[in-house]
This record gives sequence, structure tokens and C-alpha cells, in this order.
Amino acid sequence: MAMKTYAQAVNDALREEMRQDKNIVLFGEDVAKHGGIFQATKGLQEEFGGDRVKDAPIAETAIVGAAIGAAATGLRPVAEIMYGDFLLVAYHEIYHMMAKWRFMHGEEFKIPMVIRSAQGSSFGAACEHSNCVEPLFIHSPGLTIISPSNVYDVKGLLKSAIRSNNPVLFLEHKQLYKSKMEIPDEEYTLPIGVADVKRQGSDCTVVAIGLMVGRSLEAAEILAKEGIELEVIDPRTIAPMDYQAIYDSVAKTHRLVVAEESNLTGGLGAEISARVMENAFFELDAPVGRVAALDVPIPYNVELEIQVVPSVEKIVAAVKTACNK
Amino acid sequence: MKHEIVMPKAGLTNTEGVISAWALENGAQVKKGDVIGDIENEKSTIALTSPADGFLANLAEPGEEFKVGAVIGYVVGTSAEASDLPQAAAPAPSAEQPAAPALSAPVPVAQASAKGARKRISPYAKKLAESRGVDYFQLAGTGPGGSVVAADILKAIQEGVPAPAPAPVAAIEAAVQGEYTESPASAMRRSIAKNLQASLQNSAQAQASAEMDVTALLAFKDSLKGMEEALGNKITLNEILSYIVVKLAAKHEGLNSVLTQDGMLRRYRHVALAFALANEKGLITPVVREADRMSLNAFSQEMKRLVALGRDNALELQDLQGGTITISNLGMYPVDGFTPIVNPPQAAIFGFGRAVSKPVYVDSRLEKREMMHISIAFDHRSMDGADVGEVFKSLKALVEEPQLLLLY
Amino acid sequence: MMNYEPALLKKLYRNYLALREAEKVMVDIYYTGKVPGHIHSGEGEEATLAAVLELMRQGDYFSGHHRVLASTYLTGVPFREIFAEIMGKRTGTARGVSGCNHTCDLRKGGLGTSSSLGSDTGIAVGAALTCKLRGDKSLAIKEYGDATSSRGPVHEGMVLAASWQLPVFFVSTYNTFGISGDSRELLPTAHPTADRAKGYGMPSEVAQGNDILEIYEKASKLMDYIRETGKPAVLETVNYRWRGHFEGDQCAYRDEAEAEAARKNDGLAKFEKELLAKKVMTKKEIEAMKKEIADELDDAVKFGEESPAPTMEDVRVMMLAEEN
Repeated sequence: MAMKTYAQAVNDALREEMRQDKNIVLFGEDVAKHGGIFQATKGLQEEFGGDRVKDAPIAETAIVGAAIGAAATGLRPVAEIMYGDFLLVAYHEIYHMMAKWRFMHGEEFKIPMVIRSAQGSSFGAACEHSNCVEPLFIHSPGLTIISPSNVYDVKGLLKSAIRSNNPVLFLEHKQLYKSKMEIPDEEYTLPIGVADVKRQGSDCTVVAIGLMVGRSLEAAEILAKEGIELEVIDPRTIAPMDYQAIYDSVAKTHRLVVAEESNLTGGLGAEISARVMENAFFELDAPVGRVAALDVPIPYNVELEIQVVPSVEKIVAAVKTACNK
Repeated sequence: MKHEIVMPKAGLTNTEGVISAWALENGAQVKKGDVIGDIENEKSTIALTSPADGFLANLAEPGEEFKVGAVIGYVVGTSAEASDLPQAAAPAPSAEQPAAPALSAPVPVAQASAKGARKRISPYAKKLAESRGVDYFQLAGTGPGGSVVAADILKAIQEGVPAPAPAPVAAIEAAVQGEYTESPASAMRRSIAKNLQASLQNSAQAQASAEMDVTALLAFKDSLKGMEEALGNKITLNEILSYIVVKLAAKHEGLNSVLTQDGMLRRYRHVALAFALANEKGLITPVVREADRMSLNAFSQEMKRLVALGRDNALELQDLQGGTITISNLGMYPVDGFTPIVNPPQAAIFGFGRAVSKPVYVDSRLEKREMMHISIAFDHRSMDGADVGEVFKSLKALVEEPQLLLLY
Repeated sequence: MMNYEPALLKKLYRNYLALREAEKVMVDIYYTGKVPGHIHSGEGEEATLAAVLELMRQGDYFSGHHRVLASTYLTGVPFREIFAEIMGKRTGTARGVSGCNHTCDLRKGGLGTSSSLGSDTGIAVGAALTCKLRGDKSLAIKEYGDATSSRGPVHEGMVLAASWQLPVFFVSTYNTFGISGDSRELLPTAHPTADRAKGYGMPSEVAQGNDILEIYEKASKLMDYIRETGKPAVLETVNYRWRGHFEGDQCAYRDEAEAEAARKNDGLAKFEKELLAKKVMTKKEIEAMKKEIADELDDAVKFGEESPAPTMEDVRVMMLAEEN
């Protein structure tokens, strides 16, 4: 076991995979010489050379396009688009091309590529640099989306994403890069499409995404003192989502709250609510609660940002409402 | 600021109503439109909503009858004002008794019989209520807006559903003269009364019966005596009869079904056998869950466990819920036969009388045989005579050749 | 012409002819209702691809655009598969679920095309990265038009190819029109792609779109350069779009006389005339070749008509590759 940060876990995953498979290449803005603005790709160009680890000019549509072309022709590219917000610069290239290139051209095509991106609020980054974008991409059939919430998960899931033969959008969180956890030294992978119960409980289920997983666990401690035992589910893979794990949990607790950092309207909570209503309606003792960012652009002023992005307190309140307390 | 809460008019001809229960207490804070209580009249129960935002005050006593339009409470601006108000109007003098003999006492039947009379209840609580036969219309919900939540159903099961407002039966009582003593019927007695009355009113019950030759069955029971040590258990006739009912319910899906309020015929995968047990409190029905998966010996041991706990009133909630079919056995009394009443929302109930030695023609010979009267009461809405006929065929086979229990 | 081997000239003629005949058949089957979607005719613009694809080698990659769909044929994909795809059938290059604009076979170097023209520039750049790492002097061809050249992703793709020094051959088939937009009015320079090449540090050439040998010569020079240096280069050919943007386009926005003049200035007719004059081919040979191609195309259309439609199972298979 060793204490690692989330950024180090990403670095280790990339390094381990690149040592095992010579076809893996890495490129993006500031990833090679500088090692990435969060240092997640530090030292990789030194070890693997300039042919496999490359800095790109500011050209997101070409970065994504090149990853698709390289993946189709036998490489396993891991491209970085620095911020989740900039994924939208290449929205067509990701939503249509990356997800559907195989569908559009023939079953001999395999697109084993990963796009890594850092998303989420980070105190004062303002409305074009703070967004969580899962809801914008779950609508694209064929795109795998992963949002790891902690050090252990990010390493195992990144390795699986790289080994997948299908395109993956891998969304890391800016605030999590410095978080630390003890993780195994031995190699491990985690399965794509399988949710993780981060905490067992019997009174209410919270499905939490990304940064909200940690906040939900904090909320659970507060609620436990009042006799409410929260079950926290971290889907880990946003698309395809492990809905069965959610149905099973709701069958046990009969109450559900979804906690996400993306905006409320059209967010993941909307999709999860609809599915739970369709498949576990008779297990619900209360309407599904949603905790999400307010439907405003993320403000620059940090105090306002904190009010807009869901807090531990908001999660506690939503659970209490669901528990009729 | 004060708003009057008035007795609402439930329909064109409605002139009086009874507050069957308040959902909240004096002093509770409400918003306009929140459900604050249930009002019952001859035809239905409707939800009473708050006319304004504020605090509830001077709510009239439940159970009393008021004319439509009479003031039955107030919503005031502050909790301090609540104590300063005059009493709510006195109930309407009973000038005109709606003569209501007990047999046709108003019992809420369908869900939304009056406009706007839908009961707000969570999907899970409704599922619980249906499986347990709890009439949730009677309940004051503690959920948002006065809706009924799971906790309310579980509480109702524990304590017995509150009784509906008693309809005035002065006319009948007056006809029976003489001294009497009176004590309040227990919650359980009231609950049983209500459920069984509702059962007869809300279903189409029919019966069938037969006098069956249980000689072989009794011999089978006796043959097990020598194996008590090996089985670690003494299997009783009651247990064997109950087990036969389990086998019948597993084989004939009509017996193990429920017709839900939404018109769905729900067939349960497993047989949960409820059996009538008398204890000091009255009548309870413990449930052997997933009885269809048990051997006779395991089933017998489970029944004994439930009987022991049931006699001491120590049964857990899960052992009292979820029965799919019931058996009632009066054979330990000098009762030849009887017709039990179906336990809603189940589809059927079996009644067993005592075994009696009788002269019976077997082929053309007269022999002494042990005979027992077995009857079934069933809900004709979900089972027909032909279905019941098939059931009795299987029943006869099992009773006359108990070794078939191995094969079913 | 006499500097070229007769065999090569015949091959170039056959390429040109095959693409032309295929374009005509495609329009015919559209008007007889056999094609579910839109098609975009490239009739008159075939010379560029007829020449460039002749220079393609094993290990090279090619991404075309929405005109001259049968260019895929020159990479070795049978007409049958191309037309089955255009007709939306299960035997097509993408099981009929993709459609007209994306016919290709990866195993023959086909990379595919995005309907959002120009967004796929990066695809060729990525393929060129693979070529570079393989170190076998192979290259990736990206062909597109003048209207497309305005798009951001085209610029970003060229910048990336230049920054990483990758063997990409950018081939722009300038055909004067986007849909109704006349590039001579809308775009800042006469040769929008070739004129910008210098800004990307790339060598460039311009050739007449109806002169197949000029195109072949210049393409050959540039492709040799790309293979030797591993660096990108640009070729722009000047054409005039003969038909509408899509079939059914009445072209009210342009001068019909100018279009008619362009159609008369047919590079294939000119080439054929010269081949006959210089006795490289005989009339009989040409007739035989025309018949052979016509038969191949008839067979392909019949094959497409008789093929079954795809099912939802095909959709499922086409969505995701098998995992290991």
C-alpha cells in the first residue's frame, strides 16, 4: 500500500499501461514537457519519448480528431482536453464522431481511445471553467463516460478505460487532484459499468456523482447522529449507468436523492428519477429528491459559487425531506 | 387574522358530515391547500384542506356530526392567537337520523368516489397497505401534505386501524331493553370488526363444502407417531390439514391470487399460509412465509414456533403480514362445519370441522369411516365455481391418499 | 503524355472512367427511388481522386468527402458494397446503417468521412501519426473542397499536422461552390487551401481539375516529398461543380451558361481524345473498358436491390466493438 494523490494515481495508471502496451500514445495541451497543469502526466515524456507523448497546439477539434484517427489505425491514444468546459469546443467531434465513427463506417473499425478532462468548480474559476458536463454527453449513444470520485477508483477505472476497445470520456475533477488515499501497490483494474456502494444504509439512498460522493459521505456522518442511515451509491460509470444497483438500493431504503454538481435542469438526476419511477415506482415512499447546482452560470465571486454548487448541508436537507423528518 | 374551516359539501345532496380524523393538531403550521383531515359522510371519505396559510386552532372533536357549512375549526395568523378563540360550533342536533342499521354502515368503498376525494399515499405505502389489507383511507398521513407514508401503514398494523365514525344506531339499540354494562371495544376487536365487515361488503363471497373421508389421513397422522424421535417433532392433524392447503394453493393459482383495486389479478409466487390463532387479545393470524418451499416437518415446526410466540403476543411484524391464503380449524370444538369469512385481500379461506365416525357406503358395503366437513369461502370476483371444483378434486385426492403429499 | 508508361495511362483512364460512370449511375438510381438519402454528385471532378488514389500504396490511408463517393472503389472496395451501402442494405460497407457519405473499408486504407465536412481533418492527422510511428514511409490523404476549407477543424488539423510534422497530404478539390455560396466571392483568395499552405509551413501546388496528368505529376511530386520527409503538403485542384449541391438542387444561384461551359470542358473527354490520338488506346479497347465497367455497375446495382435491409441487431453490432 502507498499514499497517493488522485493526480499521482492517474500518472501511475498511465505509466503502467504505457509500459505494457507500446501502442498507447498520449497527447494534449501542456501534457508533455510541462507534465499537465495538474501534473497528472508528469514525467511521461521523459520516460516514453516525444513520439509517444506529445504537446499539441491549442486545437481541440484536431486533438480529438487525431485521437479518433490514431485509434482507428491501431494506436491506443489517451488525449487530454484540459478542462471539461473545452470539450464543448469539440462537441461535434466527441458527440458524433468519437462515439459513432465505427457505426458510420463499418464493423472493422475499433475506436479504443480515451479523452481525459478535468471538470468541476474550483473556487473562482467562473462560468466557463467550472462546469460538470456529464449531462451533455449521456445523450450520445455509444459514448462511455466515467467520473471517478476518489484515488482508488480513478486508477483502476483509467486502466480499464485505456484497455477498452470502445471510446471513453474520462472526467477527472479539479478539486480531487490533491486528495490522498492509501492504495495498493499491486496492479488492479475496476470494471466499467458497475456502481460502487460507498456506504451501506437503510433509511435513504443517495446516488452521488464525482465530487458529490465525498460530500454525501460527510452528510451521512451528520445524518447518522440523528438516526438516519444513508446508503451512498457512486455509479462511477455515468454511461452506461448501473441502474440495477440503484433499483436494488431503493427497494431496500424506499427513498432516493440524487446529488450532482451539474445544473439541475436536464441533469443526471432527471434521468435517474425517470428510470427509478419506471422500474421501482412501488418502492418509493417519497418523491425522488435532486440536489444539483442552481440553474445559473457559476458565479465568479467565491461566496456565491459556494451557494450555487451543492453543499453538504443541501444534501442533508434533501435527505431529511425524503425521510419526512 | 383568522379563517374559518367549514364542513365541506361533498355532493349535491350532502347535508352533514363527520370529522373522521384530523391529520394535524391544534397549533400545527399549515399552508393553504395542505390536507388537514378526513371528512366522512354517508357515501365517502374526502380530504379536508386548509383554506389559508397559518396555524390550526380550535379544531372540533372527531366523531361529531356537523351540518355542511358549519365552522369546525380555524386557521389563525400566529400560534399565540390560537388559544383566544371561541369554541367551534356545536354539532348539528340530530333532528333527522339517517337510519343506519349496522349491516349497511357507511364504509369507504372505491378510491375517488367523490370529486377530489383521492387519498394521497406514497407508492410504497400503498403496496404495503394492499398486501396487508389495511384500508389506508382511514389513516391520517404524516407525510408531506398529509399524505400517507410507509411508517403510517406500519403503525396502523401495529395498533389497529382507527375505527370509522360510528353511524348513529340509536334506533336498533333502543329496541333492546334491559340493564347492561359497557366497555370500549379493543382496537383489535374494532379492527377485526371493520375488516370482516369490509370483506363481505367489498367482495363477492361464495362458499363450497364437502364432507370428506379422512380415515386415511388420520391413519397417516397416527403412522407418524412412531417417528417422533427420528423427526424430532410431533406432527399434528392441524398441521397436516394446513399443509394440504399449502399444496392446494401452490397447485391452483386462483387460490394464491389477489384481485387488486386497479383490477389487476396478482398471482403470488410463493404461498404464505395464514392461520387463525386465538389468544387473550383476540384473534390473530400468524403467517408461515414461503410455505410451499417447506417439507411437512419443517412446516410443522414453523407453525409450532408461530403458535408459541402468538400465544404470548410476541410475534414480529413480518410474521403477521403478507399471508396469501388462510386456514381456520374449529375441529378441536364440537363443530361439524362452518363457513369462514375471506381475509381481504386474499382470494380464499378454508374451514375445517371435527372428524366424526360415521357409517358410510364404500363401494356397496357399509363401513365405519372418519368423516370431516371441509369448506371454502372464496372471492367469486377472482375464482369461479369450476375453479373451486378443481380445488376440491385435488383436496379429496390429498385427503384420501396422503402419500400424494410427497408428489405435489 | 508520352513521358508516361502506356499501362499507367490506361490505368488512369480506367480510374477516371470508372468514377465517371459510377457518378452517373448513382444519380440514375437516385431518381428511380432506390436511394433513401441525399446524394451529392461529383460528376466532372473525378480526375483528382483518379490520379491521387493511383499513387496510394499499401499502408497509406485516405479520407474523402461527400462527392465522388465511388473513390472508395479505387482503394479496392467492390462497387457492390458501395452501392449496397448507398441503397441502405445490409451488404453495404457499414451494413446499411450509415449511408451514402461514409462508404469505405479500413482494411483498404479507408478512414471514413464526417458529414460535418472538415471535422474529420484530424482523423487523417491521427492516421498519419500511426504512419510515422510505424516508420514505413506511408502517408494519410485528406481530400475535401473549397467551402469546407473555411472550417475551424480544417485549420486546426493543418496546424497539428505541421506542428507534429506528420505525413498528411491535404488535397482540396476546389469546385467553386459550397451550396449556393460562390467561393470566388465568399473566400479571401483564389486558391483558399494552397494559398494558406505557406502559413502552415507546407509546400503546395495548384493544378487544373480537368487535367489528370497535371494532377498526377504534381501529386506524385508532393507525395514523394511527404514520404521522404514525413512532413505534410498541399495540393489544390481547380474544378467547377457540374451539378447541384445535392440532387434536386435547381442551381438558381449561378449562371447556367457558365456551368454549361464547364461541362463542355470535360477532362475525361479530353483525355480519351488524346489517348486515341496518340494511339495509346484503341476505340475497341475503350469500348470494351466502358462495357466492363457498365457491367460491373449493373451487377452492383442489382446486388444492392436484391440485398436485404439491416435489422436492429445490425445497429447493435455496429455501435460497439467487442471487448477483450
